[in-house]
Amino acid sequence: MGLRNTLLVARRQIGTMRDDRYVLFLLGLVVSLGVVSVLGARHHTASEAEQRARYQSLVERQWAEQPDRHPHRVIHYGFLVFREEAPLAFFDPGVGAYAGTSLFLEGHRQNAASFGDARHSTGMLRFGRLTPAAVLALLLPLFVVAAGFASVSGEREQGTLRLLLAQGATPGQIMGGKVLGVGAVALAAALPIGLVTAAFGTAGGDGQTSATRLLALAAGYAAYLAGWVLLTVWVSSRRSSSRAALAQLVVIWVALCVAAPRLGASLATTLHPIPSRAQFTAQVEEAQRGVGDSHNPDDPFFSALRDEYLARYEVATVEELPINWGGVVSREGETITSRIQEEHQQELLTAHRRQDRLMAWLGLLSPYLAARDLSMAAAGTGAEAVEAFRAQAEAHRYDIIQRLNDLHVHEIKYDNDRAQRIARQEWTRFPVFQPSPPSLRRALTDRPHSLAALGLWIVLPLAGLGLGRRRLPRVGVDSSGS
Amino acid sequence: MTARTVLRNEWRLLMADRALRIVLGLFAALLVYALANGVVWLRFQERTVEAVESGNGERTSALQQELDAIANGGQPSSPFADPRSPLVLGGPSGSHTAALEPGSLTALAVGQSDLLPYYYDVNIYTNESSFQQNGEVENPLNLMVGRFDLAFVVVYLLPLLVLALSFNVLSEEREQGTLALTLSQPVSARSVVAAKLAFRAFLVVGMVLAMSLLGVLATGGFDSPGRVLLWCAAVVTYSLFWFVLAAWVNTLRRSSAWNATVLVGAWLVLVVVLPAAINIAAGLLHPLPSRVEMITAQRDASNDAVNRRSELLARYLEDHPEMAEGVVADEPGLGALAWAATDAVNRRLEEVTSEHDARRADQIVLVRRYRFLSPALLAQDVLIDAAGTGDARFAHFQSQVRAFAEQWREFFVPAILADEQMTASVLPNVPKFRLADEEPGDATRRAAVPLTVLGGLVLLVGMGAGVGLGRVRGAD
Repeated sequence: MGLRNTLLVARRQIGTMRDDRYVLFLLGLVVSLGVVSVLGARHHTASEAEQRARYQSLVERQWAEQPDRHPHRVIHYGFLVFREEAPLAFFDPGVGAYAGTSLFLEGHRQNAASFGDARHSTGMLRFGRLTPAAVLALLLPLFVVAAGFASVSGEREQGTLRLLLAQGATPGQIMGGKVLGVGAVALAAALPIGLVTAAFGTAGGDGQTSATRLLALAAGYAAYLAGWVLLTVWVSSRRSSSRAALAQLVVIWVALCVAAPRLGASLATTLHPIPSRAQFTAQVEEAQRGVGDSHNPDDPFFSALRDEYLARYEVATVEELPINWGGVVSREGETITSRIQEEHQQELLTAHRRQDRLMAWLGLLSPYLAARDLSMAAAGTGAEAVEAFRAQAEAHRYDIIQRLNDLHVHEIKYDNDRAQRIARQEWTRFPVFQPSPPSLRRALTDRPHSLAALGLWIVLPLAGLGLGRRRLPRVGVDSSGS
Repeated sequence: MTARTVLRNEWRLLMADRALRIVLGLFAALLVYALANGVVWLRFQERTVEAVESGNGERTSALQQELDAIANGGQPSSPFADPRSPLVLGGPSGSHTAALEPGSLTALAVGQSDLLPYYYDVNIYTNESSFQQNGEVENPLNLMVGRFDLAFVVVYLLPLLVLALSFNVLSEEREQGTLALTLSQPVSARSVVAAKLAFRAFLVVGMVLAMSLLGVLATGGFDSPGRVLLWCAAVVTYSLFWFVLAAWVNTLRRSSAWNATVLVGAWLVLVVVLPAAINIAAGLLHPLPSRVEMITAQRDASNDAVNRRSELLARYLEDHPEMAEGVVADEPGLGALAWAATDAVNRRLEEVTSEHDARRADQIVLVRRYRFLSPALLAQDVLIDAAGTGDARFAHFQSQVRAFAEQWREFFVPAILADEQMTASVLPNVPKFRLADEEPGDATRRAAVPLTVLGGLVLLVGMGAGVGLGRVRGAD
């Protein structure tokens, strides 16, 4: 009986919305924007990915085809790696356009990834791109608002709410039905976008991972949109006029989806400032100067090292060492500079993570922030993916540079060092860069705030609906409706 | 009933509405916060520019000391960094940082200034790939989101305030039955609505302009009054657009609720959906060429160049007789050979870059045409350009840095080729970067078309509203 009433109300709500040309028009608009954005983004990502893959293999071939060379020359020749976009980047590009896309790996320094798309396009990009994720997180809530703002208040205005109550439907059943009805329409809008995304998402690459990630995305957006449906019905049930409900919902949307992200980012930058690049580089250089200068024969660190080697091999001069002293200096120097750079890099990342954590806390206030955060995590395009690429590229850099230094130490004689070469076959024995993006599980477990925020986003309006259900018949009757 | 009566009445009505008082207060608070944010960013940039410029001085005086010490019989601190060598003095350790002072209205609009580099280290190795590096160490998430500055408040939030204040400017009178009463007085609907909207516009635009001018005053941006005027003009025109749009929708004789829905829809389409959709369309129809190509071209060129150094040097000397003074081509120094290879790589890079830049410029011209589809895009464009934080000023800066790098090479390369040693006496003559900033008229010239289009739009919609209001009768 109770369920039947609920379903009747839901069907009634769907009927009302189906007869509303405005809602139908908006439904068509949102769905087509969503589908177009999937197709557009898919095209862009595919061509970019193809290009990066092509150049990556070119760089690898160039590396393998080097002539006979001195290992130190190869250290300066370096290696180039390109950041591969996650398979679902077409759905949610995340921070991809604002992080570097390629990284030059060479000896003595950690280069910053050179900038991606954002710096080469016009200021228009700052308005955001119409990605499938943006349609779902930004526009669909507004559609839910437009479809459901009058769900309860409209019945009240027409006097049919009292009729429903008189016919034996409880306030709980009415609200339940309304939530189901509005939810069904939201689903009708989200489903086509989700299906197109799924069709493309599972097509290429590793189907297994993509399927899990798609499921995570579906779950996240379902919870996010369910929260909007609940909120819309809740606000509508509390207002005596549909107009007031609409105004309040639009204000909430603007505050949560438009103003909150920028307010949050600005707050994060103010509370956890990040140095300028000039300052950062200066700090690194300062720290490196403090440790030791491998080119200076009188440097205390390197003379201590020399004495240690001379004692170990029981010889009097570096010329008598069975290994190449120049290579040893280069290897030790690399160890030190890399450690210092990495320390500073980690310090910088700590500041970034502090900012991100602040944003995550703000997600408790704005579910849009939480949904966006989880969406990037599930799509594999969040800050942690960019950082994983950087860290793995750095590990790879350190590995190949030290291999080259080892070649220098063992295969090149100290005497007439510069004239010697390593045979070309050696270059093909070097490891190939194979980045592994962070797993979905890690990306999600690193985001407890956002997960909690999304839970809260459902629980709060649900509690509101539950607590407010007794008041339902009285709104607009015994008070002025506020 | 005079305009003054309308105005006084309006003020009372607005102030009686608690929700509206809260909204206005909130808007004022957001304006203050946005300005504070902008000022913080401006100060950060100023400090950075100051730091890199004092870094220039410190490097020079350190080199001066070392060179003096060597002249007095001392030893260079390291055999690989002998400052007497032009490859060292003009190289990374002697480099000069060219910096762009923040735009005079940066506190009002951060614009592209958080994304585009505003300083470059220039030395003899500066080439096109240097312009690709120099990324700030900023959190990419913050770059993606953008800053909460006055320009954001003006472009996104101000229209909503305007709409909240005026969506029912006429429909409410009709719904409450006061329209017939009002129009029974010797006054036209046109003048009543005009007075009401003028009052609201005065309130809203006044708040924004006051806050802008306060910001300009606090940060000394009055040095370029042209930019301030441009900013104000853009704010006024863009706000007026939303006011006349509301007036026009009011003449359609629908309910206040309908007006509100349609106007919010218009905001959503013009400010949120259209710009985002345009970005997708632009990317699809006019894809920017990939930079990846450039990076690999550099590697190819440097591979090739190292193997053909002597040949390259001979050709270089042929092409640059002015640099070749005193160079014996038969037994060139290592420095000269290395320089010939570096130069060959630079040339190749310039070729690839100029090709790439030409294609990119074509695309950007096409993409920028889409601005005219949305008043929000037009307004944003003029606002950040007026603030000196738009793409154009950064491109201007970059071209100057390019010229400066050329000047730098002209100073050091002859010595490299001749294998000469340098002394402290050359230090005062080493080129220094002096920015010739854009002429104040440049921004105005660029803003002329978008601002005119925006103004035309205001006139067009305003006339539509005027005609519609002329038809309004009290009996409606």
